[in-house]
Amino acid sequence: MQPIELIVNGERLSAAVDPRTTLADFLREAADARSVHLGCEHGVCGACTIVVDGRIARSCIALAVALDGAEIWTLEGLGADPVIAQLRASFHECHGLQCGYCTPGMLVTAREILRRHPAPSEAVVREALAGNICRCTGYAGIVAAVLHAAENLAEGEIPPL
Amino acid sequence: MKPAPIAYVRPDTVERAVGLLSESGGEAKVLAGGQSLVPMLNLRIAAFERLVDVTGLPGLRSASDEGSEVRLGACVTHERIQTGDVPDPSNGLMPSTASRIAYQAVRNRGTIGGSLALADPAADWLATMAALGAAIEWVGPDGPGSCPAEAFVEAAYTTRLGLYDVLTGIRIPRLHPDARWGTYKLCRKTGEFAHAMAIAIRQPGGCRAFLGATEGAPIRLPAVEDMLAGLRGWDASDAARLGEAMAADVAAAGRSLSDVHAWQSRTCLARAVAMSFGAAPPRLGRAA
Amino acid sequence: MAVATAPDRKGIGGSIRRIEDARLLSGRSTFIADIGRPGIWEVAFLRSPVAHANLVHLEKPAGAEDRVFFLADLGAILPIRADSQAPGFRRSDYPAIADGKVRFVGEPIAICLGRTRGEAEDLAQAVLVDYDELPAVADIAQSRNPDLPPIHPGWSENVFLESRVDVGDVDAARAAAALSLTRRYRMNRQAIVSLEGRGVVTYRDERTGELVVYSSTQFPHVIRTALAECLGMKERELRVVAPEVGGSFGVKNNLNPEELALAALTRRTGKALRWVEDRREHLIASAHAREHRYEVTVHADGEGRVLGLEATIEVDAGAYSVWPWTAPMEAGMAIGFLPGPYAITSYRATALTCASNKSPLGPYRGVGRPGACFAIERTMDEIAAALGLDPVEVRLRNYVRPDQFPWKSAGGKTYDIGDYGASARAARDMIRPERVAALRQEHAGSDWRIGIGYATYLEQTAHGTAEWVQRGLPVVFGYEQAEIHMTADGMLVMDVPIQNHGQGLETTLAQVAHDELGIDPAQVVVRHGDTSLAPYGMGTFASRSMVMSGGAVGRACEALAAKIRKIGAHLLQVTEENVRLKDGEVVAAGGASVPLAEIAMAAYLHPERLPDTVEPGLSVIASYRTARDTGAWSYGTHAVLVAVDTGTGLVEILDYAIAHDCGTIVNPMIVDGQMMGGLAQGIGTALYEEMPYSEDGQPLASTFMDYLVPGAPEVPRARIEHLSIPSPITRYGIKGMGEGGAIPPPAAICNAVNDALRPLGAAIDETPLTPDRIIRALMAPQAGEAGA
Ligand SMILES: Cc1cc2nc3c(=O)[nH]c(=O)nc-3n(C[C@H](O)[C@H](O)[C@H](O)COP(=O)(O)OP(=O)(O)OC[C@H]3O[C@@H](n4cnc5c(N)ncnc54)[C@H](O)[C@@H]3O)c2cc1C
Ligand code: FES
Ligand code: FES
Repeated sequence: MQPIELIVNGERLSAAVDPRTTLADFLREAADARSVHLGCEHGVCGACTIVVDGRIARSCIALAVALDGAEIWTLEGLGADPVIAQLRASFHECHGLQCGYCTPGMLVTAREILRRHPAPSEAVVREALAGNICRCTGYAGIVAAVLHAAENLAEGEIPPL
Repeated sequence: MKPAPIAYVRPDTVERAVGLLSESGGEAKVLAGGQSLVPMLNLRIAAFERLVDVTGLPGLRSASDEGSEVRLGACVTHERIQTGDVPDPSNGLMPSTASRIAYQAVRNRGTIGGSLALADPAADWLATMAALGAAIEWVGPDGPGSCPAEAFVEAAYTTRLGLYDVLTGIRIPRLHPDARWGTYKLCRKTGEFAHAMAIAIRQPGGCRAFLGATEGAPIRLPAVEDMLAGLRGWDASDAARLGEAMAADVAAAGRSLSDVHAWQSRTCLARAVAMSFGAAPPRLGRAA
Repeated sequence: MAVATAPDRKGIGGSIRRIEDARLLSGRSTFIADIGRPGIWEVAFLRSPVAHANLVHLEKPAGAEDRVFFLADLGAILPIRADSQAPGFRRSDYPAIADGKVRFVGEPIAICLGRTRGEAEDLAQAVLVDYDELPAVADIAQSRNPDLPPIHPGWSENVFLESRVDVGDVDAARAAAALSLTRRYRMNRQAIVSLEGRGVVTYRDERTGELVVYSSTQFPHVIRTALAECLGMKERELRVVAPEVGGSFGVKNNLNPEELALAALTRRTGKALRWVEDRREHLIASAHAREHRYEVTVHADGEGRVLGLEATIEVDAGAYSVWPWTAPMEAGMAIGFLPGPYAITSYRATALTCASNKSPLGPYRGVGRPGACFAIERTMDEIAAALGLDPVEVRLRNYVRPDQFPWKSAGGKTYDIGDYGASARAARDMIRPERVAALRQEHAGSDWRIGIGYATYLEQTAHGTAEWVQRGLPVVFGYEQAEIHMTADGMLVMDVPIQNHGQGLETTLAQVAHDELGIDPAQVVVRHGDTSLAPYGMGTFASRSMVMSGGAVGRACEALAAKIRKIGAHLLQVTEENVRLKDGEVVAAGGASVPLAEIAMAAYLHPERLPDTVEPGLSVIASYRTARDTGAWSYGTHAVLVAVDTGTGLVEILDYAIAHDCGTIVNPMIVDGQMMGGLAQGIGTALYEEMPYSEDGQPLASTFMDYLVPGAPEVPRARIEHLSIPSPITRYGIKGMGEGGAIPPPAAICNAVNDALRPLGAAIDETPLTPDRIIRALMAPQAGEAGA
């Protein structure tokens, strides 16, 4: 067991971790971040996507112990973020989810897409979503939702988290 | 699918890191971005007693512009190369390559040093660094070492790095301002590892051409390079001659490609060369 | 031709947004991995690394005897036995964990417990197993090889079942034919891949005396029945709950050995247990799908009219017969559906269900039909090419005509209604084949070859009693029930035994309730997936829930509405004929009204306000069967425009159009979503997904690095047109439609690729159409057939 201290969703969290614990498992267990879904545990599906020090990352292929000192956001902590709020509304409006398992990873990734591309084309959105597998929707609703959110967001730069 | 028990250390000097590696007698493993290693740990394909995290080592995350060349620390991420956060000696080849590795969330953590050290034949940096004539530097129990990227890989997943060596950085010579490059990566889906890949660089004083995504080290193509030096433009009718030169180079290198792979590599090479002459990458838009 | 839907319609026909979205968008809903219990143990299975072996010695790691369990440690427990009633069927007993022998890579051998999953996996690695390896049967061609050992005791050959169809006069058709063609097709084995894997949590509820089994399943009641039988328990001693289910597509529609193993171990030890399937387990050990091979001979006249059809169908069903579907289901569906939408009256076919040392084959979106559709639709294109005819024209000459329904097919099915030609013409109009010439010219001299392809499919849905009896299954899924209650404050709670795993059924069932009761869908709560909430029912699969559960909910609401009207009329002091239900109120002819809440209050809390003839309470339980029990038939035509890159072998989809008929549409937005989701999976089958095995039975795709699931750039947005001919046999005229999107894409895309490659003399008839296969076809013109 090794001690680490992280900021998770704005709150300081000190814990002793077994070094083999992935960040995803740590967040799910120690921070009750159940929005962190596991779809592959080898970095391909994107269901576990979260934010580490302002950048999106796969929590399934990061070790918690290696992130001592990091600042982490999961969907649980983003309730007050206006971009996430708009994305939620847009996913609802555009039927961007079916079973909902890929959804937290999609929302977190979509926020990053909008941050990097304020007025993205459909092709850009599709490329940027390439690392997030959805087995239900065929992506049409998800792509539409990201474009819908881009149109409906207030002007201005989206800050990193 | 969880890792087996393992210890973790995060040393703060390269010497300490090398010391920890050699102490463990081969049972320790360097951890950088973890984007290849942690999946292997999760799958229990690989088992080690201890991880030596090198991301905290001084200098490994920094980059310096030294005029005729740029030095990147081993732990510079794909993302920093992609966005121009580090100096680019390659007239845009490196940012373009970085942007096509995996996905943003992986690029944000994966490092160029990790990619090179792993030496997955299908990875992007191996062939790119070879084509750019870069040199790879490391520090081991016997002190620092280095070699040209072209000679770094001995076989798939096998490099010149010893068990206790830490790859510290990459020196990349600056391309001639008039240099033109082209690359083409065949993958079945966006962000996937390459199934075939070619890089062509045309510049005064020597062209460079490499095939990547082979079963071992990237293959240098000297006959193709000679042909490139003589070309004034690209015409589809040159493809046959280019293909023959490529086949001769592969054979001369003592390597072989399956028929299908040779066909695809030929295509990649022709497209890379065409791109170096300004052709847009061949991609059809979706019809309206 | 598109359905007329008022955007503000809340009932049937309205694209209302989904009720279930909010909790899923929060990320806080409860999937199987989120269910914990105090003191719960994490489970890892030790799984076989070899395809076929006798287990000569098993040994628990020292000191961990109470955390590692073999079959003998589980107490009295029957194997899973999925017997087909078909004569000649060979039985396979599927044990919860290995019974001294393993029959495929990934088969569970031991249950290992840890405080974390990692610790459980450590134990699994430490179990000593001595394998006495046997030769593996790893290919269909080996199933009748007498030198290979039988997979199950007493078998004379590794074949579950051989079945035949012979109707009409195929010999006469052959003699009369102007054209006879023989082609071979292959649809390779796939994994199913729900993004959330399977999973089971078991514990004992001391208060109720129940063994509680949470399972990521599509049919909790049926699982309870099966578990009770295998465990020798009473149904009342078991409660089965499906929590939020993260996609399924058939893979959670079997009684799985892991469900049985955990339930047995909790019964034996009292321990609370949790097993969450990981991706590698899913890819190698969850049920697989497809793996069909066809040899089709078609006889046609000079105008392309099919006179007769002959086929040999082979399916590799893997090591065990899966409950309740049985191993021969795939091949049985394939032989039944091969004639497709065509008026073929002479048909002779053999269907062989082979056994192998591979993971068992289970139902996956489309079941049997993607393969059958691939074979017949490729064949229609081959007829067109051989005769120099337009492929749509050939189809139009062969479809069952609208005036021929109900049509009894050569495959033994009864098609209810449709206009197949209308779907083909609509798809053709959308894809605009006239632009192909210009596109080809534009890309002349480049590596890109343009092609166009069509495929028409049938999707039998809401199969009734007769259909399941005909298939000889152990369970006959002919009906569905619903239990509804109005709460004392006027909301409607509907408890249904179906299970919603993405289909939006909480929304669409509320829309049905709206039409029957005038209640706002936002005031309707649909609860599902729990044997202790809902009456018995069959679950969600085979595109049945909207028809069956919709029908049951409709009938229950109708009965409740009658009672509500009675009470309302009484409260309004008018006669019952003079009131109707609207906007959450009972409204009298004169305009006076009483809200549902007030009626509910009277029904529960103020019986003195009720008329004498009305009992207190507002609950109804109803069951539903379709008027005819041979299924409601959706159908449609897909049309696709592709570019094949002859330099790499990549296929790019340039445009995709779908014209389909699923009868009355309850929620067009959800229907389009189901279509798109099915299409993405169909594109996966066509171009990306494959589970190859080595000769010694090792699965070769155990991660998403090797098993490619299409992503957003790989799936185009299709244009979808709805033709809505109501089914004559279902309440509201609804036809199911959950699977159709996945059925024809392999056929349509392969037809388009062949159209593109035909001028080069190359042909390809094997899915997925990988770059390597396409290049090989290009290298060997004339020889690029299946298996080349
Ligand atoms: C979904 C997915 C898709 C991907 N697609 C691509 C792709 O298309 N192209 C591509 O090129 N890559 C791809 N990658 C791999 C990615 O680029 C990784 O980032 C990279 O291969 C490894 O870098 P890392 O920093 O994460 O190294 P780690 O995973 O930490 O380490 C990788 C290996 O290198 C060793 N190592 C790392 N750093 C050093 C060092 N400084 N000295 C000595 N040894 C060291 C480690 O011991 C380990 O063996 C993909 C990865 C994923 C998860
Ligand atoms: S679970 Fe992390 S990428 Fe799939
Ligand atoms: S909605 Fe089910 S995986 Fe995306």
